Amino acid sequence: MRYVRGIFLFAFLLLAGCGLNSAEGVVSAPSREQRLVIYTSHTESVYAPLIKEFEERTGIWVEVKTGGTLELIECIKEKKENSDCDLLFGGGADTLEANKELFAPYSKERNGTNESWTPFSSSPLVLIYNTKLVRNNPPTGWPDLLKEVWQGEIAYADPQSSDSAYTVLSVLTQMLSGEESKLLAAFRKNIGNCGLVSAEQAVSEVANGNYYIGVTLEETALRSMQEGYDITMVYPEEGTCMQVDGLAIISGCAHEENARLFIEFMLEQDTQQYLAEHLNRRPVRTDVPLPEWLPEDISCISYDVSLGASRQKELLSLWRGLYREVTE
Amino acid sequence: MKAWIRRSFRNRIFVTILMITLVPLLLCDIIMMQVLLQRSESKLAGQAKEELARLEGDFANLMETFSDISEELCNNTMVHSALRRENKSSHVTYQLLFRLTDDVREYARFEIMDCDGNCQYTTDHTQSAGAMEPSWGILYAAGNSEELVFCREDSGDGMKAARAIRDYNRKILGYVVISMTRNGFDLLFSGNYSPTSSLLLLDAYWHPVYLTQSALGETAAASLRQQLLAGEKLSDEVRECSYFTRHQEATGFTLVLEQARTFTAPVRNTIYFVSIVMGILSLLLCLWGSWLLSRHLAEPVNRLDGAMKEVQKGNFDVCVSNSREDELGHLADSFNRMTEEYRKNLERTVEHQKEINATQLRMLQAQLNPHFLYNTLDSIKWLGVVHQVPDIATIATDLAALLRASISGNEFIPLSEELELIERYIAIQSIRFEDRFTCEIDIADRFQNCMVPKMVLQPLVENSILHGVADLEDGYIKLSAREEEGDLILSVSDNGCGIPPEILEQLNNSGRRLPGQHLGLFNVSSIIRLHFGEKYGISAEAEPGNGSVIRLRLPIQREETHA
Repeated sequence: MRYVRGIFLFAFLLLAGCGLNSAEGVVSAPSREQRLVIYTSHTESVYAPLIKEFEERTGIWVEVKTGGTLELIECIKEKKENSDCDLLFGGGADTLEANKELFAPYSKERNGTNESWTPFSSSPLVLIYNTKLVRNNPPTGWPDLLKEVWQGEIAYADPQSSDSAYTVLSVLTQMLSGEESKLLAAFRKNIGNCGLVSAEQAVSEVANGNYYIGVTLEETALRSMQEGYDITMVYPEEGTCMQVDGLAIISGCAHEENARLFIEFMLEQDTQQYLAEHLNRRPVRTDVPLPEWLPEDISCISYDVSLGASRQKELLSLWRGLYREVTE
Repeated sequence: MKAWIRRSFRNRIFVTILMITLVPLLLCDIIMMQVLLQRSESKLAGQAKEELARLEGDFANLMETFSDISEELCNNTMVHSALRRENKSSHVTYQLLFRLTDDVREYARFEIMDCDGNCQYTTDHTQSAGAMEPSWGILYAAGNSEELVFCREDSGDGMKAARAIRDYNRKILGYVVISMTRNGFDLLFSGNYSPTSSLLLLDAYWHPVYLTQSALGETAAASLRQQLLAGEKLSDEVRECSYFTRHQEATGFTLVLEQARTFTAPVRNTIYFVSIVMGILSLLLCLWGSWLLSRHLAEPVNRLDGAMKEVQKGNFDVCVSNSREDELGHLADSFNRMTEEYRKNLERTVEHQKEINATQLRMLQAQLNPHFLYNTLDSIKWLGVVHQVPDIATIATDLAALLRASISGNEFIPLSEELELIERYIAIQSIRFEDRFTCEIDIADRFQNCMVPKMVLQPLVENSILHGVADLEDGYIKLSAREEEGDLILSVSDNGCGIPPEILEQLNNSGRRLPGQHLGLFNVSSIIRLHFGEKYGISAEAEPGNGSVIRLRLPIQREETHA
């Protein structure tokens, strides 16, 4: 009994000591209705101004988590209901389509689609090359990527993390005639040991001369060129593929209303115009004029998104097999 | 542990002293630490809040001024007309702009833009600011508000404020834009906070507007935002900083003061180290003290314990040496005295036993060759029978019975048997003394079964015959019994010549000395005393020439109760 009393006294003193230690002046955190958690594969230069504008217009606090699209989707799948993600911002059509069971549809008349995800902009795949290094016979189309002259000289992001890179694989298989595995093997040889994480990196790798040519998105190439990178951008002559960028609400998320507000904001005319003028992305709204540096008349191939989506796993495992083959 | 404490009171003393020494010390340490930390923290917090209040005051004043200036510019008809005019450059507007911004130009750049976001007038002397979009960012916000609106720069370094210039139809003519850069904030805030602190100015969504330490501030601001959103207490455990926040109403911005803690981990560790060293020192002191004290207390007790074990083993010669005068000393003394008493008592008992043995031996010696005598007497009896002399046969039979009784193994016999022996004895003596005395036995039946030592009455009767009635012609001897105070009193009285006074005195005083005469009386007396204690024995009364009474006092022991 004596000991017990002693212990109580001791604990009381400690607690009394700690009790004085309480914090003051903590600004209260925003309420649940004022929050939104966004997972994005975009770089900060893309998402930061959009999110800043969204916050200031709506008063909603946005938390951002960045990563590769597939990586983020894996993360959402892994945590299931415990995932804090409300909205996936960015991601190609193939990837979003392949995971559409994760998303809640944004059914808005204006959008005209009842799909589980909402496209907000697009950017075509383009070829780039280092202007200093490539003088004669610059690449002009998709078959150039398989030519032996470019062996080990193509900058290309890992299709397992970047979905624009996956689209390249899918386009090659859908467009070029010939046996799939041979096509990919030829392309694989030209890649060499290039293990880039994102399509952004491909541009800087070409610009600093580590690689001669590369595949990336128009917006990335244009941004780099506006920043002064010495590269040339080529629209493939056979036609290119529009890499659609989508927004997807995670079904069962905590702040679904705010996620809808964000999509609404992204589809506003102001925002779409900002996308075109400052981020070199082609808006989905037809009432937004394109700036002069975005040519309207680029030819597009007929690319089957649902086929690309359904074959994603298959192609990626094939690619992984080739990757091991070459590195070994 | 508990068992260990209970095993010895030395351990108890040790633990008690340990607690008494350590607990107050530890309590003291903890309380001191807490008080010290609280004091220091509250002082620093007070200081930080003061600084923050001052900073916020300065900032609010400046913003107030900005608001006033912008309002004046917006409502100025000169500005309105200048913006409406096609020829936009107007020195009057410039004069107005510079006059109004005289006091605050060092903090910020003021611009007047037209409704398309093109800069028309600027206070900046080096570069003219680029165009801004009225459908985006700060101009969009200003277009939706009547007031001056604030927002951070896209680059995250600096602040912009804007107000729409409207004509009387509420149509937007242009905008007043105020840009405050890092330099302006440096100028505004420098010197208003202590050099160990740093300041973060965050916008309404806790993105950084201005940071005094831009490199560290960026990550600090990001982690503060995360902590705020997670609902945690703002802190930085790695850099050990405390944060104090203050909201600025007009702009919606938050001022955060980052203050380095005084009691950082190394300082705290030093304090803990000192406390622990103090603790160890007092522990050692306590060990030493309690060792001394417990030895002082426990040693005599252990000695006593050892001595008691010796006594248990049967060694009564132990003596606890003792030089102390306290309670333990008294205890040792008492123990010594007790052992001494016990030893003496034991010695007395042994002596006692020896005496009984000696007396019994003497009695046996007095009954020398009883078997020979008995056999002889048997022969005599048969001779008497053969020669038809009945007296011889009777004497021989009686004597044999006496002899047999005296050599039989029983030490105690019922009084009835004893009386039977007495009758035989008297029968023999009657023949010897030719019936010159008579003997009367007057003993109630209830005493018949009392147990008495064998042959205790015979010496008394013999004494009465030999020393009392031997010389008389009509001697008279009487045996009687009564009960007195629970004891049995057997008395033998005669009308003989009495007992000489010196013998009488010795008999009554339970003397142990064995005189030459009356040997039988003394033997009886000592046997009874040894068997039953000093209270019992023989007493005698006599008047010279007028007979004597000898009384025998015995405890009443019935036949059936005696083992």
